[in-house]
Amino acid sequence: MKSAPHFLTDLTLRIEAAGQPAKALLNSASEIMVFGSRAAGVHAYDSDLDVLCFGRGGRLKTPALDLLWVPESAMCNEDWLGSELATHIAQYGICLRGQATWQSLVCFGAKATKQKLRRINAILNAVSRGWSRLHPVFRRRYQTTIRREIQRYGRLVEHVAVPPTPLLDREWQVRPNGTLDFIERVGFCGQSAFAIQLLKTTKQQIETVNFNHPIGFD
Amino acid sequence: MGSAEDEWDDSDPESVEEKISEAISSVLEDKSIKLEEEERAGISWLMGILFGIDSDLRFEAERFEDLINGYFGEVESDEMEEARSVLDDIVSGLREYIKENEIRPPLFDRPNAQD
Repeated sequence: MKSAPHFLTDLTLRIEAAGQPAKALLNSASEIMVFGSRAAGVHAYDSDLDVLCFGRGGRLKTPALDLLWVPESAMCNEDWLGSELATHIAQYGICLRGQATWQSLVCFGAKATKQKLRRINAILNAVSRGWSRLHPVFRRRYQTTIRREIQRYGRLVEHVAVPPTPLLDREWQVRPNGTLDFIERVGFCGQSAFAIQLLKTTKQQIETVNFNHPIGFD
Repeated sequence: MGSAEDEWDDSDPESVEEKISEAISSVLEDKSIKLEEEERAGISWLMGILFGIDSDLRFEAERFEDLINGYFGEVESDEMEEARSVLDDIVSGLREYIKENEIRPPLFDRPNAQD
């Protein structure tokens, strides 16, 4: 696991590479946390660095950096403390500045779970409707997005912090039935059968499969 | 392009995003563009191909994508409002371009293009 000083140096370089004044930007944050795959040590060589700052500022997003600001006033509010992001950071984050006292206050809020379920249902509805008009690249992308979002939803339902994406991908490779069983158990607005078929579709099948006339499924 | 306003639903960013994916799919099909698997085909990617990587339209499109993707999939209503306004600007820019040039936007040099 890399240390806070290592991440601070790394962060400074990435902000400067984005053409922003690193010192001024970081000085305006009362707390700085690194999270996501790099904080958990499961990143790829080209993974971006995910950073949360408390204070005033605008999101800075480049291929190398995703820096998000949350107002200090939100630090102890229920919406923040119950959010997917807060529960993730409380579990996987590394504090570069501040005390991060809010971490002990996080709780799994019903709102975050509800939002995730709404999002999954919305994606499933939109993708199942538009499937025949989507290029294979988008079909593959949606297949991955839907699978990861369902895995995340599973964690939220169980009141477990959502792990970084590479860990979700690893879990899918090792134990896909866990996710498939979960989909069957939960039911997604009448779209569970579509979700299961989609997740079982291979990369080769995805170009030709038409879910109105399933091919190659049991 | 004219249907952007018709398809917009502030409460359903996922549907908006899927419609945009359909529109881009149609362009890819129409222009027989071959995509590498790792390419992040999206509206900013397409604007980059059509108008160049440093074009205003590509930057606008990138902003649009950031807004509509939100964070951890959560999109606030003010982000959706801004996204709609940015998309309107993109559509206006495209219309203006088409009108000025009296042609469809060309594909700029791109190693993977197959047209």
